[in-house]
Amino acid sequence: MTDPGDLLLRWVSERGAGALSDVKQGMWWLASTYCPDIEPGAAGRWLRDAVSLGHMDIDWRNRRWSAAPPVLTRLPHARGLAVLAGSRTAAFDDRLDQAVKDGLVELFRVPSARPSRDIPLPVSLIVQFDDEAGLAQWATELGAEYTSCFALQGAALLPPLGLEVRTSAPEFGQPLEQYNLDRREYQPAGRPQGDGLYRLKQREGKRVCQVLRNGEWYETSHEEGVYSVLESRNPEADVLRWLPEKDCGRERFGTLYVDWGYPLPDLHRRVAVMCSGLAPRINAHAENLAYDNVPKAVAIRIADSLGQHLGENDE
Amino acid sequence: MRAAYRRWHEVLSTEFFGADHALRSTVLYVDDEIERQLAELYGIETSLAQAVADELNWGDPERPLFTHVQREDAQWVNSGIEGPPPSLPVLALSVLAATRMASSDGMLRSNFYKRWFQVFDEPLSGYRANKLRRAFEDVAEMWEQLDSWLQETGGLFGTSTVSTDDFYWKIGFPISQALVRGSDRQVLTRFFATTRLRPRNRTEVSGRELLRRLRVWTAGRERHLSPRLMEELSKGADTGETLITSLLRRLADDWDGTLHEPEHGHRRRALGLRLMVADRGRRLDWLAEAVETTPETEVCLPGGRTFTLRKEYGDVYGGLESLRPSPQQLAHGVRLEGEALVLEWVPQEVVLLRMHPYLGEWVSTEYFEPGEQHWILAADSAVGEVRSMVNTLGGRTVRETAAPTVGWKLFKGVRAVNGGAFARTLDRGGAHSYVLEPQIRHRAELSGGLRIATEYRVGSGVAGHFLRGGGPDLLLPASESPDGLVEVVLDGCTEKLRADPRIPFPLRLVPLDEGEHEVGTAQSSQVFTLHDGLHDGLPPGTGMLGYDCNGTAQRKLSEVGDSGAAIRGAYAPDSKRLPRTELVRSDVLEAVLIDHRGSARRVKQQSVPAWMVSRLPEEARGSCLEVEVPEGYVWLVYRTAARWSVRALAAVEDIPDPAPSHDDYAWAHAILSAAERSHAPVWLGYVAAAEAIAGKRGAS
Repeated sequence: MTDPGDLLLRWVSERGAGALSDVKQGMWWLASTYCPDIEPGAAGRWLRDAVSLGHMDIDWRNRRWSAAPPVLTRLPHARGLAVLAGSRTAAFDDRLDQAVKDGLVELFRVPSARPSRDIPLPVSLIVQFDDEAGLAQWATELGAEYTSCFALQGAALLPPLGLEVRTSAPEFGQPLEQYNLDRREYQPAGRPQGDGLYRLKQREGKRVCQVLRNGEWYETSHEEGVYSVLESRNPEADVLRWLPEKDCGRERFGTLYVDWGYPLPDLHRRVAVMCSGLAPRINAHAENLAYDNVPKAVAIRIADSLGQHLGENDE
Repeated sequence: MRAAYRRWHEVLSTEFFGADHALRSTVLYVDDEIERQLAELYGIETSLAQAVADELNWGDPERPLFTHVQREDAQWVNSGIEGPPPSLPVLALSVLAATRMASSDGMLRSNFYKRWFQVFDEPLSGYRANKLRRAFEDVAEMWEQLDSWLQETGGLFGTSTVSTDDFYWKIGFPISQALVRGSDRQVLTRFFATTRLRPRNRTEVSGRELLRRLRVWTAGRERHLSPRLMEELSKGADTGETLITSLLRRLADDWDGTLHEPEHGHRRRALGLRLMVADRGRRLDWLAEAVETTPETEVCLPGGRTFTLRKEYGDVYGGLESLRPSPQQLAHGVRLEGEALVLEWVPQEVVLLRMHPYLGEWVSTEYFEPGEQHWILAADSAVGEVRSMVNTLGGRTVRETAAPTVGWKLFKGVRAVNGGAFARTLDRGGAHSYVLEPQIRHRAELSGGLRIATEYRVGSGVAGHFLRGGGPDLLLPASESPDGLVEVVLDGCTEKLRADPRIPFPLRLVPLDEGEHEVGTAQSSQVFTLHDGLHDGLPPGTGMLGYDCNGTAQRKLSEVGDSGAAIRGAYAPDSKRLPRTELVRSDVLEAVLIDHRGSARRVKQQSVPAWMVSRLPEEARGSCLEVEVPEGYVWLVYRTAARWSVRALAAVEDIPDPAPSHDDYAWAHAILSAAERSHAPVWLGYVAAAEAIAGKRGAS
C-alpha cells in the first residue's frame, strides 16, 4: 500500500483514536514526502474530507478524533450501489480482499480527485448489490455495521440551527477577529462591533468561535457560526443551490452547490457526501463545492436546517 | 608552600569555584588582564607566574619539577578533597600561557610550550625547557584531577568544562579553558538561546552541529566573541571531535537555559524568538516557545511596551500578537526582557522557515531538513544570491512572492529531493548557503514515520513501532571517512546506501517485512518495528465520538461509547422508515408495481446519471434499476427482451387478496402479461381478478 490517502486511513484506523495534533504531524510528514506541492491547511482539509466520507469523527473544539466503525450503506437511487465507509484496519482489509476473491461481492475502488496542493484522499469503496437483505447480511459477515441509506436517514436527523450555550464575552484587550461574510475571511477587530461571528483565543490558547447576538455571546463552531449570522441577516443568501440532473427519470436528484466561505457543518457535509460516496468536487473557477447525487428532499433538509432557502437557479 | 601561592589558590578558588558557581559550568579562564585585575583586587604583589615558579623544584633532580604541589595534592586527597585542589594556581598559569599563544600560528603544540616556558622566564630550549615540557604530563594529570573533583562533588563547585582531544591531549586542557573567556560565555548563552537549544541540551545536539550553527550565527555579524574564540571557530576542522566542538558540547550539556548574567543571579531564562509567516504568507508574527516552568510572565521592549505572555496550545506563548514584525525589527533585531525571561531575535538577512507541526504555519527554524519543504524569507539585498542558490537546488519550481513586509521576498516550496543537486548547492558555497545546511549528527537517528503504537517499556531499546509503508526516515551521522561515504547496516547487511549523509534516507522505500528491524551504522544503530496492523477487531477508541440522537442529532460531537442511538461515521440509528427499494437488472425494458386495490405504477427506465459517467469507472456505473416501492405495492411485474417476470414484494401471507375496481384495466393488463410466471396461489388469485376485468371489458 503506497497511496498516501489509503495509507493515512489505514494509519488512523489502526490507531483508533487520539489527539488531533499527533495525527496532523504524521500527515504532514507523509505528505511532505509524497506531495511536493502541498500547501498549508492540507492536513485540515484532508481531515474534513475524511469526516465527510464517514471515516472519522473529529471533536475540533477539544482537538481529539476517533476512527468511525466500518459501515456499509446504500447510496440513494444509485443503480444498486452502496459504499463502505469508516475504519479500514489491516485485518478488515484482509477480510474484504478475501470476500472479493471469493466472489461474494463486486467492489470498485473509486478515487476522489484533489488538487496537488492537497493530500490525496483514500479511495471510496463502492459495492454493487442486487438485493438489500443480502447486502445487510454480507455487511454483518464482514464485521461492518449496516445503515440502510445514511444520506436519507442522516438528513432526517439533521439538527436545526440554534445558539444555545451562552459563553462569556471575549477578554478585553485580547486579539479578536470578526468574520466578514462578504470577503469570506476573518479580519482583526479591535473590539466587538455589533452582532456577528468572532474568533478569539481563550486563556488556555484554544482558538474558538463565538457569535454575538443581541448583546449575548454564544459558543459555536465556525461553520454553524457562519450560518447563524447568515440566517439572521439574509435567509435567501443564495449560497446553497441545487440543480436537478437532466437525465430522464432523475428529476428528483441533482447536484448541491455550496459556495466557498460558507462551509457546511460536519454532519451536513457527511449527509451530502454519502449521496455519492465520493468527496465533493472542487470548482475553483466558480468558487464552490459540488455534491453529486443529492436528492432534492435531502438538499432542502440541509438548507432548512441551516436556516437558508435552497436556491434552484441554474444560471 | 609559600604564602603567595596559597593566596593565589584562595583567590582562584573564590573567583572560579565559589558558591555562586554551584551547578553552573565553570571555565578557569585566566589571561593577563584577569591576572592583573585579581592581583589588584586582592592586593597580591607576587605574580601568578612567580608564585608558581617559586614552587618548582629545580634543585633535586631525583624528584619531579612539581613535587611540592604534588605532595600538597596527595595530602588534599588523603584529607577528603575539601575545596579546590592545591594545583589550582599551576592550572591557572597553564591557561594564562595558552591565552598568550600567538594568533599568527594558531594553537600549534609547539606554540603552547613556548608560551609555557616564557611564563616562567625560561629559555625556549635546553635542559630547563625540556624539564618543563616533560613535567607538563604531571600538569595534565592535575587537570584530570580537577575534572574528577568537580564531578565527584556533584556540581557543588560548578560543573566541569575541562576538555581535551586525542590530538592535543595534555596541552588541550589549558587550551580548552583559554578559548572561552567570561564575555564569551555570556555571548554563548545568548547563542544557545537564539538557536533554541533545550536546557541541558536535552535533544543532544552534537558539538559539530553547535559549531556549525555558531559559525552561521557569527557569520557577517559582530557578536562580540573574543578574537581567540573566533579564530578557533574559523578553523577548517570539519571532521571528528575537536577542542572547540567538545567544549561547546560540554557548555551546552551543562546549560540550564538561563543567560550568563552574574548581575541578575543567572535567573533569567533565555529564548530565541521565532518568526512566523502565517495565513499563506500574508502575515508576519513573532512567536515565542513557552518555558515549561513559566506559564505566565511579562516582558517588555527596552523602554517601551509590556507584553503579558501566557502559555497556549502547541507550547507557545500567546500575547505577542500586537507586536508586528517591522522592517526595523528584522534589520536590527528585537530584545524583549522581563524578570524571568529574555526573548531575542538576532537579525539575519535570510530566514529559513519550516511548517510548524502544531500551528500549521511557517516558522523560522535552525537547520534545513532535506526532503521536507521550506520557505525562505530573504531581505532584498540577499534575494539574488538566494535565487541562484535555490535554482541550483533544482527539483520543483520554487515560487517567489512578495513577503508581508517591505524589503523582503518569500521563496516558497524550497526542498532538496535530488541528492546530487543538493550536495552541489552546498559545495558551491556562497554567502547564504549555510541556511541549507542540515544538522550534523553524531549518530544514526530515526525521524518521522507513522507510529501506530507507543513504546512503554523504558529502556527497551526500541525506537518506535511504525505502520508498514509509513516507516521512518533514517538520519545518518556525519561521515568520518575520507571518501565521505557512510556504510549503512540494515538487519545485519552492510551497504553503502548513499553518498551523502546530509540527506535522510526514506526507509519506507525499502521493502521490509513486518517485524523488528535494526538500522544504522557500525557505530550506532536503532531498532524499530513495522506492522500492517495490530488489531484483529476494531482498535480501542474506534467509534468513541458521535452525535447522540433523540429525534434529531445533537449539534455537538460527544463521547458516545457503543450506543446504537448515535451517528458515528456513516452509521445512523434507524429513526426513519425508508421506502423499500427493489432492484431489477438494468436490461429490464419496463416494470410495473402492483397493489391489491387495482393500482399499477409504471416505473420509468433511467439512463446512467451524468455524475456516474464522469466519476465512476465504466464497470461501476451500476447495472441495476432501482425501484422505490411505495407503501401497499405487493408485486413487481417486469419485462426483458425475452420475457415477462413477476416478483412478490412481501411475504406471501402478507399479500392481501386483490380488490380492484372493475375498470382497473392497466392493473389487469400488467398482471396478465406475467400471468404464467408464477404458480403461487395468491398470484393466481390476482390473475383471476385481472381476467375478470379483462373479460368484462371484452364482454362490454
